[in-house]
Amino acid sequence: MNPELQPLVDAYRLIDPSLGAIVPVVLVSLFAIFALVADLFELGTTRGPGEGEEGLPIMAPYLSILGVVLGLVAIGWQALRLEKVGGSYFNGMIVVDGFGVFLAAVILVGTLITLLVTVGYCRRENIQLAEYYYLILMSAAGMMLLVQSHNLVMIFAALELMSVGVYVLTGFRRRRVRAIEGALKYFVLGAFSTGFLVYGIALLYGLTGTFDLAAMGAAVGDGPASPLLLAGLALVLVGFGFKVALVPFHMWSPDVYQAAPAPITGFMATGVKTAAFAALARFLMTSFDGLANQWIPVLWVLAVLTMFVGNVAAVRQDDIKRMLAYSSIAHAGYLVVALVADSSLGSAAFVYYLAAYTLMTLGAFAVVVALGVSGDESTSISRDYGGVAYRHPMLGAAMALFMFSLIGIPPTAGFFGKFAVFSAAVDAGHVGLAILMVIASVISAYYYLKVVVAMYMGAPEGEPARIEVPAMTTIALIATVVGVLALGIYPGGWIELARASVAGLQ
Amino acid sequence: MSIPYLTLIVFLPVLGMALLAAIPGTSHDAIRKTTLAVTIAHFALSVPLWWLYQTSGAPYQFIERRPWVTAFGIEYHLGVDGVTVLLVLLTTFLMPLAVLSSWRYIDRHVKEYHMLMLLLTTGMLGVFVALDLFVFYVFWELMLVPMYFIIGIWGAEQRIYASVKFFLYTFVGGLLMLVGILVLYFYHHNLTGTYSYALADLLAIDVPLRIQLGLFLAFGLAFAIKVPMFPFHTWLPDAHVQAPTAGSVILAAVMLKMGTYGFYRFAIPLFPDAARVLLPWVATLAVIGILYGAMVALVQPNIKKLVAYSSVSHLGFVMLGLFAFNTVGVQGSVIQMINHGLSTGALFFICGMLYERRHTYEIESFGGLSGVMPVFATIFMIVTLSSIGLPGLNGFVGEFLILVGMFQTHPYMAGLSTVGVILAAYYMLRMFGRVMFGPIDDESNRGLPDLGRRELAVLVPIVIVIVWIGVYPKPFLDRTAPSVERFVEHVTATDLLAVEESIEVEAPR
Repeated sequence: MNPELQPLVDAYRLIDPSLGAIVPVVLVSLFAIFALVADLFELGTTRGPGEGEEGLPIMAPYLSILGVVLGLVAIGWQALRLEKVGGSYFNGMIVVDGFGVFLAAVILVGTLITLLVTVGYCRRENIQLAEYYYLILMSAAGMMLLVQSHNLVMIFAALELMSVGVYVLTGFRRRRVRAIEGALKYFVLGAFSTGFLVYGIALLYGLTGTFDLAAMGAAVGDGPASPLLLAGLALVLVGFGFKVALVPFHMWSPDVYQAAPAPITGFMATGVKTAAFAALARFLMTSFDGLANQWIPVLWVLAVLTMFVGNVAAVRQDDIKRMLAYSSIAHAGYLVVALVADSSLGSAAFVYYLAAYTLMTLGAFAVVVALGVSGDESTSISRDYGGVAYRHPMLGAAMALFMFSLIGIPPTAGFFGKFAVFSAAVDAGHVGLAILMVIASVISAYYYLKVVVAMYMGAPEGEPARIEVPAMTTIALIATVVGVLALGIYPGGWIELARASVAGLQ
Repeated sequence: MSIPYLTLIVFLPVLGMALLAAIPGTSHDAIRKTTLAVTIAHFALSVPLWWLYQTSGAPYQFIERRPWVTAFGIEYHLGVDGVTVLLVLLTTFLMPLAVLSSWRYIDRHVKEYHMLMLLLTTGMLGVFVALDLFVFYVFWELMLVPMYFIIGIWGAEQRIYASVKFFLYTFVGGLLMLVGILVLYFYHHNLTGTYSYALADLLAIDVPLRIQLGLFLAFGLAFAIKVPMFPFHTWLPDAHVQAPTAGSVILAAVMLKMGTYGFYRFAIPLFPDAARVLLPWVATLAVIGILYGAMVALVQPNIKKLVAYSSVSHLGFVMLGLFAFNTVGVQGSVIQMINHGLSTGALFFICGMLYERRHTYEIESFGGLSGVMPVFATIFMIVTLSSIGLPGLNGFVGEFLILVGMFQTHPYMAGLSTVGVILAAYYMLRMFGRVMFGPIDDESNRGLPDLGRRELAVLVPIVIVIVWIGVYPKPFLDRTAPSVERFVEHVTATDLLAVEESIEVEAPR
């Protein structure tokens, strides 16, 4: 063998045992590249009529869907063999545990639904670029890595991989001023927040001498924390706070959510949030478990602020994407309540809620996408949603189900999620916080009902546009409806799964 | 393996929904007939409860208990006692009548309407038969959704405002109750080490008064909104007046009972000491409700609003009877729940019939109808007298027992509330007189048709039961007596003075 290759071989030997751990991520990334390459060589593509850059990437949607499905199969395989494959890989950079596997599966399901909705959307909006799919998949790969990272450097890298894709996707319809504005805002504030995160990581590294979460936890211990350590923790919290849009770090999200293409908004509201929240939870519970009494009051305040600002601001919105943006801020607040509980029940509620939230939010966005017409996303609740339930009974019924799930009415996933979070909060003795969450939920009922009121009790303004729901969108809708009901009617198995998945975390 | 009788009763309407789903939305009559058939079959299915329920048997019968969410100790746990039997029968009895009364009135989205009515039935029955607090909560919230749609889609001009208000009021109470349920659940777990939402398990533990007070308020708020007790009643006039006829009937006849039933089944037995400590407050609010509801009803120019406010007054009596904490009072309260369901239900049906003829509820627009519609006048008179509490009709039995019961414990409260009875007679009879007697001022009243066969089919069964309870209430009282006695015994089991002292020293009992 060529001796010059020896270092490569050594490197391979080093990572070989670890490769199995990232098979799902590798699959998703590989198919992202396949999608791009297939388009590059015009495999199965037809060029659009005279519009040089806008070909029809016939392969890209199917390749990316296939990649995500294979990724899900691989995740399932990991989940089934968790006893054997569970553990730490790449020198502790990546960890395979129930928490990561469960949330990676949630992210992939979310990505799959996003892709199904995207196919119809792109056809309608004439966004015919394989890059679109490539960016979604790479972003998903970043999310999956993020939920499995066990090292602050890895967390940082995965976070960036996830974010860059989403920045670009936000501004994908680059001829629209609002899209450009949103993308720029997202990018600048995202970079800004990354600065906080990196500075925090640097401080923590300086004080503990390690990037590894567990080792940092050992170094931090229970002892009295130095002010610098707390400053590092605070900076990391701010960084994550931006990513998951906690109040007061949420300012960007309504503009960005409104600017992005509707399927991408759904993807951001669920995938990005799930991944960043997972990393935050892992970081807090692994590295700063000993200082829980320091960060719990902070999160308590953030939770209350986030729930109330999100819900109160959502009441005034007429644009449904903006309304759902504020709603997703509010739901981030509920998730923080689960973190404040800081118990195994709290973590299980947290994980369950992320799954429920992903399904119901993506379902709602799928309806939003389905109701749009070319060039006009039709997102004004008062103008575009009047009487929808009678023109499109199935879409109306599905949307009503998602709205009731977001409110938290049984028997839906959203109800049981909220119930689990309430349980965790009460169990941990935060009855006051639970009552505040009740009040926030009641406020939220008002604006979710506004959508139902418009659809069922309103009349259409002007001649309603005829729409056809693409087959793939229908599949996505059926999947989310079934998921929301299944999680709500048979919560037992799911909550057991959620419990098992967080067993290693606490 | 026995037949899951209660599950069948609760979920038969859902099967009916599936049947309706198969019928095309344009064949309105087929939908109406199918729904009527389903509700009649449903009533027929539930009637055997009346005989099968063993009065001297176990406290709860037809028990079904299966694990649902084992991780949290949630069980699918159903059962009935004597009071529940009556409430279940009241519900299934009124549903076919409600469907009949909607025959003409509902002409838009007929299929959706009837499916929602059936779903509503399932929700209401579930609330009555649930013996697991989680299951109870699920049904409690579930019934909210169809009612919200029924008011919001088929209601009058202000329907959206009314439906959202109804939803939010009930929702906020329900969620606070959920937090209360959870606090109790974890308290039970800390004491016993097991997770359970079963009512029987939660009844078995001793909760210190200080916690009881907070939990009673959490549960009580949810139920007080539903009853509705003064000052949480403001959603009621809106919802009742805006809802379509059948919606008002179900709201008044069944859904308001869920509040009082909630007190009877959960809030009072779970937190008996708190209930007794807070008795003066609750009773005061009940009396205020009686007088306030009556006085507001007095000045209403609108028949439907008048009936709605009379509900506030009548439900005050029901609350008063419950909080008498003696057998007579609670018995009266239970009978009064049924009575109010029948007479106010019938009154709302009558309002609907007047509206279908004249498209108005204004008392001023009517007058002299007795000559034009003699049959209608007769039935209206019987129902009015029943609502007032004339001896020989059902209303008298309930109010009398309540006043006797309350008089034994709180004579002043009983005395004050009799003013409500007098006022009720005044506003009801005045309204009746202005609608039915006097000269016919408005020419359009002259040619009004008397009751049709369909309308008779709605009202006559109710009148029969009204007279039955009035003349021979014994079967009703017999069926509820053992349950009521157990309730009173449970509530008054502890020595209240000792409990009140324990709040000072926090001594474990």
